[in-house]
Amino acid sequence: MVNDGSDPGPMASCHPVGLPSEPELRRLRDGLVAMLRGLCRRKRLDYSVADDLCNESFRILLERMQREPLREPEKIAAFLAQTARNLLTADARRFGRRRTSTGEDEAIDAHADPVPDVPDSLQHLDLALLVRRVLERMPVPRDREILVRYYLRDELKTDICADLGLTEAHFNRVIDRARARFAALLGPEHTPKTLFSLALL
Amino acid sequence: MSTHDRELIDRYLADQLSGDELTTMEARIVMDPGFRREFELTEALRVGLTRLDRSGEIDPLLNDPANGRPVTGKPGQVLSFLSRPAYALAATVAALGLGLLSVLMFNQLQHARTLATTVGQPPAAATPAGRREALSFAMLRSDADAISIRSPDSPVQYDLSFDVGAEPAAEYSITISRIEADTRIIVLQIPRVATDDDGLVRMSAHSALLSPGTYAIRLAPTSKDRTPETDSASSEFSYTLHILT
Repeated sequence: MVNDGSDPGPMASCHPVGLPSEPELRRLRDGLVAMLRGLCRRKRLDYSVADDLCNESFRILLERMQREPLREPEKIAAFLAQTARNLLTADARRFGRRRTSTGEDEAIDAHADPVPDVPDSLQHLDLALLVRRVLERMPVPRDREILVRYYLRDELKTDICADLGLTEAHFNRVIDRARARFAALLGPEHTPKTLFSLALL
Repeated sequence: MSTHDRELIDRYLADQLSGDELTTMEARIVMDPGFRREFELTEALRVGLTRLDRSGEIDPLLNDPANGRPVTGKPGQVLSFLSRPAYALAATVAALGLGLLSVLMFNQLQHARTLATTVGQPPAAATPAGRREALSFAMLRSDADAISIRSPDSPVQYDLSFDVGAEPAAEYSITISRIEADTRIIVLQIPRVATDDDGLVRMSAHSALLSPGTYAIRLAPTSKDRTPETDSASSEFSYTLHILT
């Protein structure tokens, strides 16, 4: 939903033409925070950085749009995502330069939890238990191996298929079924609304 | 979610994206809540696997067939035997007698039922089938549970396969009933058929068994598969086969 300028609204003075509506901006903000938190989790950065960088990204967007509208307004999400990623990269470099060496960096790093955290909505769930239930319900040991090699060892699909003599269709079927089962265990909020998955519940 | 989208998310979380793909991926996370849920689900799946691995539980799950359903060579060997089409046909013939017997007994006890169950007439003489025809009952089709075919001019061996969803039971009983007005005539009953490795349940039937008409096919997990979680109507599957003249 894009403001075409015909309805200036109460924030007209600070709401540049072409900027999405307030509800749409809130949705974009939620999405950007989720993306940034995901990056922070995987890069082992402080969670609070995500909120700061999100605000900074929106500030840059607003300033840019007050100067001139985006050439492709439909790509506002891409603009925000790219800006946020650039800011995160710069922030990580700054953090690296500021880091004080104690001479015990290796020992300290060895105690860091290598497992990234999960989105807030899933914090209360015992994910290991749920994944174990998914694996236990997979009928064929080879299918469990597919899931582990693909999602845990990050092996390529082509390599796994070649190694196990599988077709791509079979591989996809195994992965999709495991995901659907996992989604069902996570709860309705994470269950894809497809006929296939509904048939499982 | 499409396979392409799922693979895009998988590659993103494995740090295998760059350039435009990376930008597009992150833009979709920002603007598409449904896509974002799939992304978070994948991340949660990876985290769960990593935690399971750290607690040393992955290897036993990969190596111990007892953690899943039986596999070939163990108690399930007889099931694998039954799941092969050639042997399944022989099992079908044997099961037919058993099925007819049980239907007879059932019929005697259930005269008062509105839905009468009568005994199907076994084929007088099953001419050897000259060709085979595959019938696939899939859950993904819009008209998922019904297939219509023409009655063959010459004897045919039907190879039926059933997609019973993401978490199939280890074995099913299969009952094929001919529907005639308020009557269902059981024409075939197989007490145990193992699910194949690819998650499909397969059986074979000679066309002599299935004259033109409408048939209800019911797959029910055998008692050994029933758990509190699966012991519900949703664990049974019904399909319809129309054989047109």
